[in-house]
Amino acid sequence: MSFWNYKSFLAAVAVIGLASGAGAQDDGGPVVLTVTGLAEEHSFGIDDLRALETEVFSTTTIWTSGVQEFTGVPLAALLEALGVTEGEMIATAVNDYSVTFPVSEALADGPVVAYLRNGEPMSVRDKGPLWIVYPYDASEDFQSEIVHSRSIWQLNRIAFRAE
Amino acid sequence: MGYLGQRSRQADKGAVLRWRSIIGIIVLVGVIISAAGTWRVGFDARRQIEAAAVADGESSQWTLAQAEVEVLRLQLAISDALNAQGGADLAEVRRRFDVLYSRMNVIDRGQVFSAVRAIPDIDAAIRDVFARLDMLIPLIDGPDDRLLTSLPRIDDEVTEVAASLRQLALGGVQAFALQSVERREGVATELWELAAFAAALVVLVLVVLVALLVQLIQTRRTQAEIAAAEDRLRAVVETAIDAVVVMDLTGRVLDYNGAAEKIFGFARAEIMGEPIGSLLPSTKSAQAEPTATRPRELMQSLLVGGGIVQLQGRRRSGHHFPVEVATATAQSTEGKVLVSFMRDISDRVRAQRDLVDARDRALAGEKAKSDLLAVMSHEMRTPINGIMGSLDVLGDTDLDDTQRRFVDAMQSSGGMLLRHVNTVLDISRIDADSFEISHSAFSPRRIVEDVVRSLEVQAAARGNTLSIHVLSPELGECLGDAARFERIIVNLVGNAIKFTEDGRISIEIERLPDGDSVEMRIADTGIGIAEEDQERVFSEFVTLDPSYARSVDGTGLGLAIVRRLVRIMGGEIGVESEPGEGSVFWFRLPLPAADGSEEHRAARRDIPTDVLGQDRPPLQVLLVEDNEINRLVAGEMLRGLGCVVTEVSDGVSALRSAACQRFDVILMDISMPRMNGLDATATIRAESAVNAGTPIIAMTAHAQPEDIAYFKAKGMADVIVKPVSKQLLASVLSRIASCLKSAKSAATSETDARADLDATLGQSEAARISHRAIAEIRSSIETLMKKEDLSDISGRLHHLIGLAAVVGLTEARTGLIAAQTAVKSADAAAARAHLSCVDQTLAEASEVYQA
Repeated sequence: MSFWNYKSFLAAVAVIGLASGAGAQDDGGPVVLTVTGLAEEHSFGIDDLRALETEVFSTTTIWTSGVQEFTGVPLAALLEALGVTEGEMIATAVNDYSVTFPVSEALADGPVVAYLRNGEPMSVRDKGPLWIVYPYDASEDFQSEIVHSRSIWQLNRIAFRAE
Repeated sequence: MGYLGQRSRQADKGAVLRWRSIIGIIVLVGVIISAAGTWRVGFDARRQIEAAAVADGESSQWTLAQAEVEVLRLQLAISDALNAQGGADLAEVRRRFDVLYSRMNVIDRGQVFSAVRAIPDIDAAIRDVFARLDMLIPLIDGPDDRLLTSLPRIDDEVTEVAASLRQLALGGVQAFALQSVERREGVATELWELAAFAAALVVLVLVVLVALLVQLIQTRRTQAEIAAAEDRLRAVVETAIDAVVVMDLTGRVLDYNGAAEKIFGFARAEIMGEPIGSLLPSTKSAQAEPTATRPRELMQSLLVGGGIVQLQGRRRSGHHFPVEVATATAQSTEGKVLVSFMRDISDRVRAQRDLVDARDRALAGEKAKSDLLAVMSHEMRTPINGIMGSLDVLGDTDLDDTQRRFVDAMQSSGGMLLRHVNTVLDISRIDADSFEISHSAFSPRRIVEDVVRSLEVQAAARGNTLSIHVLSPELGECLGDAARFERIIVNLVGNAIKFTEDGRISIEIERLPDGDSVEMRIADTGIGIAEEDQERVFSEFVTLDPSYARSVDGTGLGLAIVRRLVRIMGGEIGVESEPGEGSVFWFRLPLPAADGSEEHRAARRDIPTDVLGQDRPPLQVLLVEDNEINRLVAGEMLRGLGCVVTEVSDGVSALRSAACQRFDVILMDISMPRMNGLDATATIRAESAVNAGTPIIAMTAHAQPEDIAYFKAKGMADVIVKPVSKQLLASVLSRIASCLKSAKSAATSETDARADLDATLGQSEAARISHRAIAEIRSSIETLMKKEDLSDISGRLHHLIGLAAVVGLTEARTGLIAAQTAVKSADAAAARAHLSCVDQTLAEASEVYQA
């Protein structure tokens, strides 16, 4: 065997292994969100998301006690970055909980894909790493059942499809 | 007539308005409360519903169910890992553990679950689950190999957790069910409240609506009433006979009815808007402005005196006529207006004038008649006087029986004739209200006795007996009109005699318990008076036997006069009678007891004819009378009384006689041609040397009290009313004589006083002084008697009184004092009489002294 073959083989394996094992890092950290249904598949790490627009707000939620501060990227910004303007969005969580809603409503003001709660990243145990939250206290509109059902935590997959 | 169609309902309006506004306020408040309540409750309800809409219960149930699912998944993952021969998927285990843990966190922290956590059993379960899970965390987070080996243990724990979770889920179901129920009930309550408020609101709105409707109906009805009233009023005004004119305060005509058109002649169209001055010229303003009269002036001219005035109205033709205007103010929509009812009173004014004219004519006619009667009667008295006088004298001469019978008959007839004439005169005088009642002292009893005595012959002629019964023995002198009283008695007793034949006539006198009234009753047993005639007998010209064959005679005036006399004297009269049995004529007069003052003694009949006494020289009398018969008669009477009479027939001759001879008394007839008695008297007083102080007595047929006073004021010492009678002459002359008599006695008392003076001064000196005094007093008296007006001689008299006193002329002094008193009480005649007395006294005294 030649020395040159052995190294490229190792590099390829490493790349593939890394790619398949750890997902497409691209320096955004471990992949926390996989987006499918578009022209190509996207993967995002926390840092990738951080690179997009950031929004911070405080609110209480029905699943927590006390006021929580959420930091994240507005869902609209994310969709914009993905170039999605229409269709349906299917958000799925780690425990396979899934919710579907129209992109038009996803583009509306409100939902934020949060990656920090009270300034700290969220572990899976903590309903992280990603949680779509709304500023529930800001409006009664954000206190409906539909909004609650779209407040998916332990988000890790988003799929798009035409209506 | 819009102005007149409104009715003011101020009083009603006030009460209704108050009531209505209270209700209105209540309703308004109610509406506000309901609306607010509705909104509020609605808000709450919405919130409640929305809260329900949030339906946390549902998602919470799901969470609990999902927790069970996740614990099962964990159990499955663990089971798979345990059963896998190498290559156990620990990542899956870890993942499932995390999912479960995060789910438990939600249950533990989420406020939705606070109600569930409140249940103690549930809380214990949650704690148990966490305790176990926390215990497992180190293992889960630890290295793989440790995890692998701990799997069975973890499995057991998880089984326990599953059991607790089951409990939790079931508890949650109950709790949430309860919550649902409560929430539902809450919503229901809110909805009920909302419904209630809404209902209240609706009800109130309905109430308001109903009120508005009622108001509307009311308004409609009121409008109808007003319209009806307007129509009625319009009808009234249009059918009124009087003109109804409405004007504003400046006098512009605002309304004008049909009657106005007829009365004033102006058509409605012509006069509307014109000033009222066109109809009532006197209301035009001074500047004659065409449109405006100043409101105050207008109102003043129309509203004075209660709003009814009489003005000049002006017809279209320009003709003026009297109009009566009744005005009132009224309130109209455009302010104050004046409403006038005008009546054409030309007819009334004319009728009034005619009435007044007719009345005046009638009165004049009455007066003419009365005057005629008076004059005629008066004229009749003079010849009657002559007859009676002559008969008097004739009766005194020697007559045989036949002659005497004739003389008696003539005297009786003459007397009757005189009485008739006096009756007529009285009636006419009573009618003319020229009747005066005198108040002198007299004795009613005496008069009755005299009358009875004089009528005894007549009574006996018809077989009647007369009797007098005085039932009040204390009845003495009374104050009243003696002559009239006598008249009444004569009339009534005369009647009684006339209507009774062979009967009894009794006269009763009684003083009534009230002390003031005296009642007389003349009762007869004559033919009586039927009941239906008893009132009639007192009427004029009523005799109850008007047939030709009268058993009694009479003019029928007697009782009428009697009643009038009684009434004028303040009394009452009446009759009780039974036909066939007799009659009682009664009358009551106020005759208070006289207090006995001697000043008011009335002339008495039974004066002794020979009062003059024998122990004195005969009176020198000058008789002035133009009528031959009267002169003859009077002259004879005087001679019969023992006077020396000089007769003259007119005033001029009287002056001549009075110039040369001194008389004791002059009898002066008043009504004489050429020079009347008053003038003659005045001339004698002024010019006669010897008779300036002689008492002059007037003789006249004018017997009115005011005439008598007048004559006395003119210087007459006394007045004799014709026809002259002997008694009258005698009484008058005796008064004069007594005056003269006292002169004589004066002389005697004076000699004592004279003696004193002699002693003081010496006889010759005293005599000289006395002479001078007498001369001075006499000349003073002469001067004073010449004066017309004696009212201011009191001072002079005072001087004379003093003089008389000094020289002891006591009698003269008394006379002078009496004269002074008379002057002070303005009785000029008495003063003159006294002065002439004094003069006479002094004349005799000087003779005595000289002697």
